[in-house]
Amino acid sequence: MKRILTSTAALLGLLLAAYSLQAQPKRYVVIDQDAAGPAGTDMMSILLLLQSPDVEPLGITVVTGDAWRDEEVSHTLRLLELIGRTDIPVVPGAVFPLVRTQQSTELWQQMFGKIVYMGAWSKRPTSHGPYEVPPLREGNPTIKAATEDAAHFLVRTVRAHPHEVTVYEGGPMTNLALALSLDPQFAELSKGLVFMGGSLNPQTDNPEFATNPRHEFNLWFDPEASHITLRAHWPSVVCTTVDVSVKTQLSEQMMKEIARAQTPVAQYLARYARPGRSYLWDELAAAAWMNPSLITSDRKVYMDVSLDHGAGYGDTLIWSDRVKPALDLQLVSAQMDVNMPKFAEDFIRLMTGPTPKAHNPLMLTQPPPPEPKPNQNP
Amino acid sequence: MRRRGFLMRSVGGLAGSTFLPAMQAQRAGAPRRIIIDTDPGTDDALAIFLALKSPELKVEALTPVAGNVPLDLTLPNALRLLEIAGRTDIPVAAGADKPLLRRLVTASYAHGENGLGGVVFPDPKIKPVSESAPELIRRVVRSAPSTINLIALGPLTNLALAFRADPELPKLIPNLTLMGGSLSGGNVSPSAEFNIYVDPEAASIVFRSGVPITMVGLDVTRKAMVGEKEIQALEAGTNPISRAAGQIVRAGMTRMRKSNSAALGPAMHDSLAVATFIDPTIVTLQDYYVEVETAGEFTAGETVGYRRAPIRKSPPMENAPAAAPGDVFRPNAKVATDVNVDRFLRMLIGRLTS
Repeated sequence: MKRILTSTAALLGLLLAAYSLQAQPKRYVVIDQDAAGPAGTDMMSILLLLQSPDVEPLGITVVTGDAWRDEEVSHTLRLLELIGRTDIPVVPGAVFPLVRTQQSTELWQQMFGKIVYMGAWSKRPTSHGPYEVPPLREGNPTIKAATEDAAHFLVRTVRAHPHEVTVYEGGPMTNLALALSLDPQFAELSKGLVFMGGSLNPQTDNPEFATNPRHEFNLWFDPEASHITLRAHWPSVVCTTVDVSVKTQLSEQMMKEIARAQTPVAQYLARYARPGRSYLWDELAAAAWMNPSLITSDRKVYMDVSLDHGAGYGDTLIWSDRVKPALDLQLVSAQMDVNMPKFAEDFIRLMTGPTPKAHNPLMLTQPPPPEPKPNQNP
Repeated sequence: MRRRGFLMRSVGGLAGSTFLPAMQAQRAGAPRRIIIDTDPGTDDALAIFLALKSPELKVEALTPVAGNVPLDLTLPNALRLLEIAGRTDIPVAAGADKPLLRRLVTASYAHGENGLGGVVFPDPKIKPVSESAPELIRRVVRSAPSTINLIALGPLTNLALAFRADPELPKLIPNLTLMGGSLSGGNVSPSAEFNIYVDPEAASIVFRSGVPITMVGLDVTRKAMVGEKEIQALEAGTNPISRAAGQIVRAGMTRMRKSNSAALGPAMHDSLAVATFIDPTIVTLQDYYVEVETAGEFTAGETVGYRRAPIRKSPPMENAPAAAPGDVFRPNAKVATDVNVDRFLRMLIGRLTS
């Protein structure tokens, strides 16, 4: 009985999905990412958007942030090869922030204290120069990136579908700022901006935020680009803050359920995701755009970034109507709380479902080989 | 991507060596290809005319930017100038309508409300291309790596956008000759020259980009004044370019005399940059490491030129860590420090009236 009920429900669900597919036109999105990999928040947020049957991803533009651009481009191309979506253009963007330099940031730290996370500028054993692409754990791609640059691709893509394309930003805003400077109507012609970035008052003892609650990497890495982007006249701006990000987690339990699915996406995650180790930063921005009911609390605030080159350079600034200065500031819907069980449900469903329009995925769908025992030769 | 990146770097690696001048010499006789980034602008007008009248140059495009006057004037002005010159075959691509981060400051007090000294020319019939200025610059430069030069006569917003959007671009440009900056005091403020002052962040991006720069600043351009004799020569010219140039400069002279009856005549800032590109021996060039002040309360837009190491910055505040001055001198610009005004004026007036 229970089985019949379940299958009936599944059938109903399928019918409903098919109906909604027909009834609603697909939602266009262009994805700008500092696409470090494999797996990790950048790749997983791209995957969520690519896995949804309701979303039409028009392209992925890449910007230096968590890693250097060229390595990120390779991770992204490889991801698309592995899941069979090589039809989606990957477009290289800015390698350096507009104004901030690594050198000036090092001097800044001597004055004002240590930045816990530096992305591409982190000093790690694996660190390398801006244009180097190391061997990737998931394998290096054979397909190539687009020859256009990200800023012009963004302008062209938004102009091709006026008022229909949502701009999704998961990294520093350099490419968006360039697009906004190239095309003064870029923001108005989009459907709106969704981004992960900014920090208001996060409740966490994470050393990155505990003594510096207004510091957030994406906005901080290119403050001038953040300022240009946050001042632009978007039809709407939705912001996934650190405040809500620290309430998320990719749990071992979620990964266990995902790893059971014999699909390229699930097996990619099974191999490379690191459950229990990271917040779902960019994933929530993507998932909540597709399903706004995941967000249980938000704040409407005017948002900008400090361009003062002193101690607060790159910090998130917010104002209410009562205290805002008489400047052309834009209102942002800042997410503050999330229904994590519901988010986990969406996450698992999308990551275990079929990849729409997939063609010849390269990812093996067998489970990964068991870890070699210490006494065995690899 | 990797492969392309590698090839670009190989070319870039040669940019600083003696390879590029050799490559230019190899095609001696063939005109050098240039894109003019400009904010016309009275002296821009004469500079564009000079470039169009110079057989050594092939003008590939004009890319107007907001500067002397807003973009909705510099764009039609660029189109007008090409119509006057009968060169409507040259594409014009609209550039940035404002600086990267700052409010636009214009100089209509010097260039007239219409940017051409108040001289009224007919509305242009030709239209700009649909590409943006940074997009056109990128496409043309990449279509012929290491052969397309830039001449920048306004704020450097378009070039900064192009260089940030496509970081390999500076390595593919043999030379950028720009009118801007000063090592001897400014004009809009005691320290800043107008083009750099309007968009200091863009200028900083360009000076740090690695593109080989020839800086033609106020140090020389303020000496490059036309007087009554030159204006009359232009007015007596028989071609449309000469007469239009005569009208524009006459309007400038009248404007100057109103505020200062002893004024000698308007300085041909931008034309001297074009002349320097054509014949660098008109000026004296010296290697400098130039940084642009972007943080100063009174000095934003100042070009700070280091002649040699040490590269000293402001002293650190008390309690701040001591930063050692840079001890390596890496010039990023050849700066014009003196000019042969007679030779320049002969070239300018001679070519415009010919």
